[in-house]
Amino acid sequence: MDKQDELLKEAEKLAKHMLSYQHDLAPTITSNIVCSTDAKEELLDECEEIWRQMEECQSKLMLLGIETLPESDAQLSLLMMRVKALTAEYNQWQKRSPEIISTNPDVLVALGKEELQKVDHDLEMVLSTVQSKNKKLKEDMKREQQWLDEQQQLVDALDVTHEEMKNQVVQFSEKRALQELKSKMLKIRAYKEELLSALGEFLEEHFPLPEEDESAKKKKKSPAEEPTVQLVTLHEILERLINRLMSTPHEPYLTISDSFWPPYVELLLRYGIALRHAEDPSRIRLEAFHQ
Amino acid sequence: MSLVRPFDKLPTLNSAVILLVGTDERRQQQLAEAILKEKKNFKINIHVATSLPLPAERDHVRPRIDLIAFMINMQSKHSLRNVEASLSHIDANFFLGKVCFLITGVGRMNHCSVEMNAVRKLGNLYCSPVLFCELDSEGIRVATAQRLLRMLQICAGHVPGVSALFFSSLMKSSIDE
Amino acid sequence: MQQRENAKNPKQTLQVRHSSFSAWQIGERTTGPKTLDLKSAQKHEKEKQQSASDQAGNSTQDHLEQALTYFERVKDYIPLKKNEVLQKHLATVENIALQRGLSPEGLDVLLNVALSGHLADTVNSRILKCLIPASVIAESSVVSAVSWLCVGKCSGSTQLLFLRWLIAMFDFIDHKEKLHALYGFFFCSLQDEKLCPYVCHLLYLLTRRESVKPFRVRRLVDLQAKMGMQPHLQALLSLYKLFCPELVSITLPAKMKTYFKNSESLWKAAINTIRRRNQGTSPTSQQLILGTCHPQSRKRKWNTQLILPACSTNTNNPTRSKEINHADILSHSESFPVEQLHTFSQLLQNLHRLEFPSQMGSVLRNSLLLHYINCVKDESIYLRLYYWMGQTLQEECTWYKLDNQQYEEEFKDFLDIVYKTECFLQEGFSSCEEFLYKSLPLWDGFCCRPQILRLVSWIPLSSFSEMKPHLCEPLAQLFFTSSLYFKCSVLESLKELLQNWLNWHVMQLDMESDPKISPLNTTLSGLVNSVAELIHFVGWISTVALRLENNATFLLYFILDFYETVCDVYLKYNLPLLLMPPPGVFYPALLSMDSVSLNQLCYIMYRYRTNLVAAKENELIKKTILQFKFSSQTYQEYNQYIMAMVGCLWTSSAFQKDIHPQGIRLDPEVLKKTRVQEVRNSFNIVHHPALTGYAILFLQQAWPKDKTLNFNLIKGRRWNWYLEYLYMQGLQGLKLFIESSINRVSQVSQTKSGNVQV
Repeated sequence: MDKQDELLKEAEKLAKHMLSYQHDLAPTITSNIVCSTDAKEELLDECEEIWRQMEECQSKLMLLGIETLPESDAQLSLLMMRVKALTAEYNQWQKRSPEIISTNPDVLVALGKEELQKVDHDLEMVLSTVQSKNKKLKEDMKREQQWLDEQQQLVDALDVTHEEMKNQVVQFSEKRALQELKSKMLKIRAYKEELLSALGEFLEEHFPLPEEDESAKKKKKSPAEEPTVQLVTLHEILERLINRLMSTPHEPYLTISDSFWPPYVELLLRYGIALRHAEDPSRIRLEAFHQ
Repeated sequence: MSLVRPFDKLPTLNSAVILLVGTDERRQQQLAEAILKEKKNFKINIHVATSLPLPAERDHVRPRIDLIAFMINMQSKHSLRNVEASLSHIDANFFLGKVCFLITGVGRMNHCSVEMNAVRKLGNLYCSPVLFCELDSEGIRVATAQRLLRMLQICAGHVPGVSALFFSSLMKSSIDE
Repeated sequence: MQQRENAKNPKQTLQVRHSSFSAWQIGERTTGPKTLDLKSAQKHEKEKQQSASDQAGNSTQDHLEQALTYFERVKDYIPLKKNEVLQKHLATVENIALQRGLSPEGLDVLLNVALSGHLADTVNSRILKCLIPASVIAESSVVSAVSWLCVGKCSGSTQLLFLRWLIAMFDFIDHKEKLHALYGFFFCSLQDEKLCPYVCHLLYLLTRRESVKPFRVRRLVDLQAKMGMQPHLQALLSLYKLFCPELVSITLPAKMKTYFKNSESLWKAAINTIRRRNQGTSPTSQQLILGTCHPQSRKRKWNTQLILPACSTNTNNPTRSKEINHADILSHSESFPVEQLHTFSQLLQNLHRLEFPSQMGSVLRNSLLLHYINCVKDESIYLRLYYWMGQTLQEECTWYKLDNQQYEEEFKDFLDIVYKTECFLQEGFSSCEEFLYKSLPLWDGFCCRPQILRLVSWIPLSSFSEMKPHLCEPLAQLFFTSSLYFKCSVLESLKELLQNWLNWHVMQLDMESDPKISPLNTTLSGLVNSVAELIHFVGWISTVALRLENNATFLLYFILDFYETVCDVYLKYNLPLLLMPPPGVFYPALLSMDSVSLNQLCYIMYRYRTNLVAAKENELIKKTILQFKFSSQTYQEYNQYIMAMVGCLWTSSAFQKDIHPQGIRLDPEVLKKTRVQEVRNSFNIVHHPALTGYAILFLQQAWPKDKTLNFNLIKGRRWNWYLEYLYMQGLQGLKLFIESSINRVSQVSQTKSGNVQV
């Protein structure tokens, strides 16, 4: 009975320390070596008994032969083995009923002390975890609050801008709208002219008409042949294509005439500036870059 | 030719034995040292071998082996083949949770000669867990040593209520409800 | 093509003999006016400056200059093997490039040489491979390099290498307006099958909303019809679709994959080395620097030779041609250059006209831009961020690539930044999710552990059965084999995952009016299923873990923390789900040796009761067909648990009367064997091992003189005093449980007392 009291006293001390959130170290629970010999003997007897059982099992196991997995279908046979073993284990567990560890008070006291020590240690870990969690929560809270404030500011600023824009709805004046449109049109026209002239310059410089050997041509020329067709510049080809597309969008195809220098036509087709007609290879159109 | 058997000897009190099988002796050595350095409350015995079968002469001296860890290096096909050959020299009862595969070298995906699929198939076929670890790095070595120790504890029966078979079936199964 | 060559060549051969820069001028008129005169003058000055500089390695600088001058002048085809001068200069350039990187002028010279086709292919590829910038790459050199592609003198493989180089160095180019203007030019090169993947990648980087035109979409669709569904074409089309969904009508798979092959590998190592050496900052943080050009102050610190062109767009205006000015007038929106965004007020003023930097990654570090992302609903931003993040995570992962192990700190930093961004935006990134699914099976549980587990908690909600093989299996394997601390960390992150899902659900409910297309298309039942499966998973691993760790209090604390969230799912988060903890968690908590776990358990059971009662009331009141009827099984389980608890705490009959199939009922013979006196009265709130300490303290306070601790004294009135004493010691959970679930026969008033049987 007094051993139990001892145990309870220790538990009480522990409880006192569990309550206080100060960093007192819990008193180390002295692990008394179990003095009484009959407790020791009891435990040793138990161990011997268990060891005997083990030896029995071992002898039974030695009788079992060696098992190896067959070459084919190894997985299946292994799985079957596992099923059998798991079922056996399961049945074993079902058969077991709870057992008492010991009724010897010395043993119980020693065990109890061990448990309490573990609990003590664990609770200290929990304490430090909780404290660090609290700290982290505080930091998170501060950060989230700041984010919330910033977002609120954003919302406010946007609201203000919204209000301002609403109020800025200018009186719709037809005249002014027309003026604006006209000036825009002028600007666009000027831009278009600029673009066209730049394009013309560019094409003229880098894609001139071929200057073929006049002499070679003259030699090939036989009187029966027709005079050579005057080639048009690439600029001209492009202009025709553009005009065709713009003026008759439902019929944008242009027949390739002899005045188109074939390499230029190839060039346009290869780089996707012009497209061939699906059925008629002699007709091309400008790629619709605007739609 | 002796076959390694899981239950052919009585266990020694409060101790556990692990066998590392693999071609790379340096890594085995490093891993063994890391395991020995770990804090534990039971004695541990580490056996190292390049391949199975183990030489028969030392059979009577050798204690009961609780866990076999096969080490495979993804960069060397030879290590895989070695392991595959060794697998046929152990008793099938080992595959009830006392075998695991340690794969190293995953970090160099460009230089892997062993396919990831082959390794996974191996794990599936033998119903044993596959652990990935880069044993060249110190920290990972320590972490792997800790994991092996926990598995060893269970395989040696030191954890009441959890058998090696049950533990290995945890790793394989999905949640069934 | 011939015609063009003929047209060009005569002019070139004329000019080529001159050693001035007029050759460049001719070349560049095809692409647009440039600030060339300025450049040539600068170059001469710079040469003088460079030769006068007094840095260490002055001789190498001289060698470099010589080499560069040599390369400028070389015009004829020189085979590599026979010419030692060429080899020597080439080696010089390579060395310096790998050590320090090359200045923009040097890059200019070398690019032009490499692409002009004068030298052999091997020389060209060597040059391209060593074109590492020390600081920035001038846009003009890139444009002139591209212009060489028109001439068609360099071989196909050189062209390919040049494109790869361009992609790898994209972030280093200081301005990109001209490159954007060349969009059409690059677009034409899509025809070439070999170049197509890389051109697609380049276009992906260059595309802006204005670049998406119907004819381009048509062209891409045609290409796709011809070549089949290639991932690079798909990438470009999906980007187009994001910018202008009305123009792209074909369906594209929603789930994204990595599209582009990695072009950077050739230069990446060298870039990283140079960056690290010169700046001492990590590559990831370098990538995250805000803006399209690097801030000038950092430049001046380590490379005083360089004179940067000004970053802001204003100073470039005078040098632009008339054409571009017109475009400016006609365009309606000027965008506020992001580099100048420093304060919150600037953000507020310019909210409607910000343009994102080309490096999406820089957004993550900048809190101002994060706010902007939060407001803006532009999907293309997410796509860009997704792509960049996916690439970076994969590249820098330390257990994927062993070479990255030394950069673990930086990777951890990066993961931290990603996590903070997810917290800010309150949603997870799908690229992060994919990265986790790919890398968790290979994870060793040690590298970057806290960061990875925190990222796990932000995995977006999706069907749990899809997540299972990727997330749960590897995590379970690691969980079971690792230490106690790992187990607790995993439980913590799974708890946060649950909370994030539930919060997301609550936000969805709030935004019901806003027809926001949920990308996950989850219905309520899908959500409930996923959450239920997650809870089951955690219950399962907790049960096993408690067995493995022998009911450690530390572990139990985290498990009960998780169930504190679970018990309130119905009332707090408005999700019709009620799941009891598994018996493997309940009973160890009930019989634990410390009062903390017991208290937590009591609180949890109290909350379960409140939730169950509310659920039942709602059922009765609303009389609507609730989609999710709580099964009677839940109520039954709850009742069984309650009986066990009351038995343990109050009536001292738990071991006799527990009806739970996995409960603590013991046969009377076993109880007799324990030899505990008065078995029937020996396990209640006084004798429970967790509360015995309190009982002793109470007895000491009540009967200070009595040295024998007689627990039987605590009955009747003193029982109530004892209870009050317990409540004052902080066991609030216990208080709530007793007051709500235990009906006292005595006169003590109970404010809300239900029956023991609910």
